[in-house]
Amino acid sequence: MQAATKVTQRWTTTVSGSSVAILTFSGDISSASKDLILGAYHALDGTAAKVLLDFRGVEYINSSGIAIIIQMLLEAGKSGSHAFGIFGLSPHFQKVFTMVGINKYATLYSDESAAVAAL
Amino acid sequence: MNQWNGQHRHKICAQFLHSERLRGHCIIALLTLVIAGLSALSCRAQIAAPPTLVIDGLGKGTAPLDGLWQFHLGDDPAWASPTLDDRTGHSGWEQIAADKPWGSQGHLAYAGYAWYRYHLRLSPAPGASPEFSLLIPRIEDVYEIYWNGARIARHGEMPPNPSFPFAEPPQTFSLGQARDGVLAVRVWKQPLVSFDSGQQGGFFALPKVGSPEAIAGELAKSNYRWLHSHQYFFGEAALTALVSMLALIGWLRNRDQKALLWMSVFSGAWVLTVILVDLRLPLSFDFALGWLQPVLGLRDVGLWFLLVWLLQLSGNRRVVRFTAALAVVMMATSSLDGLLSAVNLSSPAAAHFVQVTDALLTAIFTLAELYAPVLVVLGLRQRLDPARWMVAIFAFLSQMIFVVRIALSQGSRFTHWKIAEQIDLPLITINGNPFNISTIFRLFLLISIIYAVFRHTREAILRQQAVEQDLRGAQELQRVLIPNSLPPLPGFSLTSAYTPAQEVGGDFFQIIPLENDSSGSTLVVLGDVSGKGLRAAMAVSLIVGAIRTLAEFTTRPAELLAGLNRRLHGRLRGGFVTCLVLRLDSDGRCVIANAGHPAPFLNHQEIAVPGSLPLGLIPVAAYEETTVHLEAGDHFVLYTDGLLEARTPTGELFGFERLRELFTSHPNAAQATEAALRFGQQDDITVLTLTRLAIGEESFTQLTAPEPAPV
Repeated sequence: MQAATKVTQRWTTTVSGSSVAILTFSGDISSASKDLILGAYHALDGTAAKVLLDFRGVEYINSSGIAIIIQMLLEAGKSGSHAFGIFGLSPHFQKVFTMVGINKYATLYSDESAAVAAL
Repeated sequence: MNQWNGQHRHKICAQFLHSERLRGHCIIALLTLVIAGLSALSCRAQIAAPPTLVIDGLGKGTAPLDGLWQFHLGDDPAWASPTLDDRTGHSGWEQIAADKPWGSQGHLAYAGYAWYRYHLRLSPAPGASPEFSLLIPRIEDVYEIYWNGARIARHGEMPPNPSFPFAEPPQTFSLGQARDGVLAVRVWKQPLVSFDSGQQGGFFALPKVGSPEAIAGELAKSNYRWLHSHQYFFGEAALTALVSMLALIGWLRNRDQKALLWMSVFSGAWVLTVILVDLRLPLSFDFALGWLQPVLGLRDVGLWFLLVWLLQLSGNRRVVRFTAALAVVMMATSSLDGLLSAVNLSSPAAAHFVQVTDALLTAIFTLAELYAPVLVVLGLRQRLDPARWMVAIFAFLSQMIFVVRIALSQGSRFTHWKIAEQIDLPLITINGNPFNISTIFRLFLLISIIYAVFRHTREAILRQQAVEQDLRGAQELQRVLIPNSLPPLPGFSLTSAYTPAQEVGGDFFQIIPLENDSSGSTLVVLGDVSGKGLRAAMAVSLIVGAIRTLAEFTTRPAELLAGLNRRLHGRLRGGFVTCLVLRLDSDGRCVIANAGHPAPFLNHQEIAVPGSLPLGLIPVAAYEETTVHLEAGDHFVLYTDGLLEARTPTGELFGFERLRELFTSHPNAAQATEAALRFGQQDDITVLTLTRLAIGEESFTQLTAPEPAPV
């Protein structure tokens, strides 16, 4: 039943001209996705000051999946290298992300254009 | 067999009457080799007349066409004629025996056309069948049989589009009522391939004549002898096929057991070679050889990866990458080599191209075959159990002897090395079944596989017992950690339900009546450790201990969470714990602090508690408190995300909206859990309900928890 996680990376530019890396997730996010997600984040390797996480293709995130997202945000927070934004979450997971305090480390946006405009 | 010197005629008793049954008939086959009168006179001359084989009074026996046949390289349709002057020395005719190929009789490495001729005089015994038949054990490669100039049979297709079987049983042909005449056999041998020794071409064993019944009997006897001498071999092939299939099934059940996959490939490839080469199936030479090459390549690749996994070299990325690259080279060259067999070799240009390409490709994959010993040397550094070593060593040895045999036969027509033939010689023969060094190594391999399976099974059983022991321990632990009775809670009725998704779950709750200054108040703690099983249970034991200790020093939920966070930080190996703590006072006041846990519901409204990180992620965290007042009849529900995120098989979530609807009817904990179970349980589900009672209403508690599963 569990769909395999996929992560792709693309780039866009804000109005002010700074580039934004967008990590697009799809499938389910669980403990099995750990290496893939953290690997994709580490692959950015400080090249992007602004990172957006696109969850439009994600149907389900279990508690281990949430732990991975938090771990990534905490790592970024420690190094102070990235500003994070999140968009494309279903209302259910917007609520769950707020519940576990992710919104304190990354702003949740309704869609990509709002996220790019705000970053 | 019987030698003829051209001056004697002799009669011999039929020594070919093998069977006891036939002996009683006292049949004499008169074998007389005569020289016609004229040729007797010319015996001093250089040109000798061809011999005539007289087979007289042949009843139920058969006679081998031994002695010397007239033989000529090349091709001429006139050579079928009974009146042809084929005297030895005349127009290039010579004499040669039919019990071995022309390659070992002065025509080494000759390929192409050649003719055999023999003058026969046949007469049946009185009362016996007037017909005669011919048994040909083996001729390489295509042949036509003529009797007195007329073609009576053909086996395979002659050029320009030659085709012939790879390996098959002896063939029989009817000679009709043949009496006196010339038996001529036209043969075409295809150009030599890389492993041909050159000692090939034409007859490999003596043909025989006899009545159709006697020849049919001879054929049956020969086939039976073949089958009898292959009893062990076919038994071994069937067992190996079984090993290959079971290994494949084992791997399909557990894809991490890569050694099983490669064991299946390695043993399966050998079974395929048996099917292509040894079963005497009616497969064409081109088809069998075309497939044999990639199958042999696959066996090598199977061995390499089997060694990589058995010798635990799979952790070495360079080894794995190099093995994969070499596997690609091996499969590409051996498949190309196989494709060469589709080329028509009857044209000299094509034959030359094929020979050169074949030699080049063969050289590449023969070199690649040296890789297996390299892997064994790399494996020497590993500490492995004897079963692994046995399988690795015998797989290696049996393949190496196979490879060495083929490698040494390459170009043997130039090297004249006989080692390949010596490898094939039987060391012992048991009940007619020859055992050569290859057979013996393969037998040891089979035994070592069976030993490894036995050992593995025994270890698996021991491991399973250890796991069951651990699980029993964890269940014992959990029984201590999850309350098996609830303390009375004055002014409230309390229900709880705990349904782990596995035998041991990661949800926990504690109800701690407070004493001294806070007497009459109760701490309720509900939480969820990310992950399941024994590791989650161990984290739960740490947490419950910490909560119990902390509750002796503070009754404030936020402080309790902060203290718990400090104690858990760095101890959860990347995991986390969501936790909700509330203090319930007897007057209905309820103070809530939350660490990343789903907020509780009051009646059907979710209580707005601020979101915060779960426990254990950052060294220092502060939590906020929220206070609500519970009035009589209020229904208060705490739950873990297993309830919220129950999922249907199609992936639909239970979700907040369904929760709200569920809580509208004020279900008890067991009823709420039941709704989620019907939807589809994914994770541990824990539900606690508290109902504030009106004054005078009797307090009650109800606990639902699973019985520990028998282990």
